[in-house]
Amino acid sequence: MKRRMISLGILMVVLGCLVSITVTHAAAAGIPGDDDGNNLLTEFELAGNLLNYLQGEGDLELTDLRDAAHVFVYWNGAPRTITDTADRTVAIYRPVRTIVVLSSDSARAIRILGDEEKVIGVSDTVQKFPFYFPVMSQRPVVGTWREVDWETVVTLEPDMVIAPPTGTVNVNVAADKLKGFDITVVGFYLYITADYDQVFEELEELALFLEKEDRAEDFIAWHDDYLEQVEEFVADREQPRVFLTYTSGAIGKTSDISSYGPGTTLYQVAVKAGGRPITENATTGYPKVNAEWVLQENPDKMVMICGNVFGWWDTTTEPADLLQQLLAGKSWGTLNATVNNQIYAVPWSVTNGLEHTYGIVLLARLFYPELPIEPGDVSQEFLEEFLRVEYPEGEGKVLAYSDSTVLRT
Amino acid sequence: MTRNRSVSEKVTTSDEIRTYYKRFIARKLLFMALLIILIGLIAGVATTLGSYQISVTEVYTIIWHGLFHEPETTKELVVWNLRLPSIVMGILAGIGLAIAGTTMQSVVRNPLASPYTLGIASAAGFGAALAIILGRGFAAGQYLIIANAFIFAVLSAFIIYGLSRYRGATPETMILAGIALMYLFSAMTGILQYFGEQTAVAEVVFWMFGSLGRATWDKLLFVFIILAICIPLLMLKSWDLNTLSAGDESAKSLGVNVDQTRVLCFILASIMTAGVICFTGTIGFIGLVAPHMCRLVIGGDNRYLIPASGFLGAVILLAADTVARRILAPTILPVGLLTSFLGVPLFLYLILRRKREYW
Repeated sequence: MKRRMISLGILMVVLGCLVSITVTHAAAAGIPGDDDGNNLLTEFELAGNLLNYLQGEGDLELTDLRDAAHVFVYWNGAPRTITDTADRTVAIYRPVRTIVVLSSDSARAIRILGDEEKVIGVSDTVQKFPFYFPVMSQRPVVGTWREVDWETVVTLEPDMVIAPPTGTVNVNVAADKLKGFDITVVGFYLYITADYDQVFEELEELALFLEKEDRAEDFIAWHDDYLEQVEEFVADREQPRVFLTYTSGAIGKTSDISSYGPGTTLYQVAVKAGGRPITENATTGYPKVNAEWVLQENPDKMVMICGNVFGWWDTTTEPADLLQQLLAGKSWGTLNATVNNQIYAVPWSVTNGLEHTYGIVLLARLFYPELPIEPGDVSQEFLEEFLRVEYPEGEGKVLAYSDSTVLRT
Repeated sequence: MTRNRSVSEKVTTSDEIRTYYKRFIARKLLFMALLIILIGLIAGVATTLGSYQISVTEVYTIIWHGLFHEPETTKELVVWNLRLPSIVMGILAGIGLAIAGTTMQSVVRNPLASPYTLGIASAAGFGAALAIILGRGFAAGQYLIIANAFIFAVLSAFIIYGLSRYRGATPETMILAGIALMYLFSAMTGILQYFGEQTAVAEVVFWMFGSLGRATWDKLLFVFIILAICIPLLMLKSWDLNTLSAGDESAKSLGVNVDQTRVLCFILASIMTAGVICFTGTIGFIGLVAPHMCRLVIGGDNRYLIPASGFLGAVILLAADTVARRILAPTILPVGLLTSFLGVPLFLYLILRRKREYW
């Protein structure tokens, strides 16, 4: 009994020592120079702080005074506040100078807004695509979608971290980990979700924080213009029935037939492009179907998104191989899509966040070959005007592939 | 057997028996003391390792200062809010999982028993998958995955308990019920994964690898409370667990309520497992192997085996997490994989070096 009590005692002491302390810490945030702390910088407060600085007094440094003046002049002396996609109220009290992005979708959005110079840390996906992110891909990697080294984030001292609202590394995790470090954490998907308009609202909110509202407006107007053109064109035409699928991985393993149900990104893009997915009655987002069911439905078009590329393939080898794997052993020879050579391989990136405008036009062109918009032109505009990277015009890169048709740059 | 014979041959007087017993006990206590020191050493090193540049002396000054003041500076926040929660979670999770494994092995008298082979982890995994893929569960927001994993793990334990009550709490019933549930929950997780979005499925897989990076002080408090309730109760039952190893009949003849002991210990071990893995994900290996490693060194007396396994579990998990965080920094490897990479060679070495049957 005595020894048992001793063992117990040792254990309790060790455990007790380990968790005897809880830590809470409040971040010191606020508008610089807002002396009364009411989140409203008045002319009197700003002038007082400027005079103090000129006299060599006061706590504020020159950077603080610049920020204070900026907030007073451009923000009417008040913080900028938004509700992010995770339904969190987020406020900034001074201009954002440095950002860490935890997804390539947010990196793309920042590039569209023209603020990539502010990005000082990225997720590993951004580093893997230097063509898309020539500046940001050179920045330090802070982690992956699975795990983030929060100490690296803290070391970089960003003003803001943009994290996805859900997922393993989500905005709540980030906010929890960065509590007390005076880093603003904001949650945005910045790609198409079940609510199609959400991505544009996110872009506008991000633009408000980065003071790039005009850039966001330009992009949204550009998107709306193409969407309108496509919608007008397809409005009175018979909608093709389309089957949407994807490979299980970059190597084109197609052991099962996965498709897209309502609310998923490719489904939304296909519907906007004037297609009528044969999975419209699916009750799950990613239904698995068999070859017989596809035969029964007899789609007019088939689109497989696949490959581990952004934008295009250099040659037709990979998409041709992936299509061959998709069709092997399926007995789909009598399908309308097969008979009319309407089975296409398209890169994954047509659904990537904010690049989907090009995706809509590309799919619309595949669904309606007579559509008078060149997908390559849209891709070129997106890349050159919004991502500011050189489009490989005339290099023959493969945008979409079927056995009879190859869309190239 | 050989050892016992040689002991009885050597030991003749009661004084010698007492002296031998004291040495015998001292060896176990020494082993535990060494493990505690090892935990301290690894934790001491782990606190000094990280991407943020803080010198060793600064780290210890910060820890000392933080005992009496709230952290304010960036360095203080890094040490107290980023490093220490993972380290303390490593210790608590290691202790909890290893003790749960030890208890389950004793309860069902089976060396292969662990929170995983008895379906607890599969149930937690299903709960997490339900939250990640379908976004449904028993809570909202950031607690959805945690609550789902915990509730399904506990539910699994109570299903086994219910079956045991119906058919009698024999080791066979519990093992077979546990394995059946493991397959059931694995299959249900498989269905969710089959229909899930690729990124969500990848998240489930990653959750199942386990990670200490999700630790915060709030979560640690919850884990600590669960361990602080369950471990003392298990320790109080440690002698009864010893009698179970001699067989149910022998235990009953010594006045032990076999069914009650078995069920109570199983439920406590399950709650402890659920309380840990709902925060860390299903970190494998510790609950299965730490008890065996300790048995090889100090024998099967649960009064010492339970705490010793806990300390060894903490050592393995803490060491694995430290390596996982630093070996490819800033990329962090899943700690659940590292525990196997570090622990299996040591386990195999001990098995090959053993001089007697230990189970």
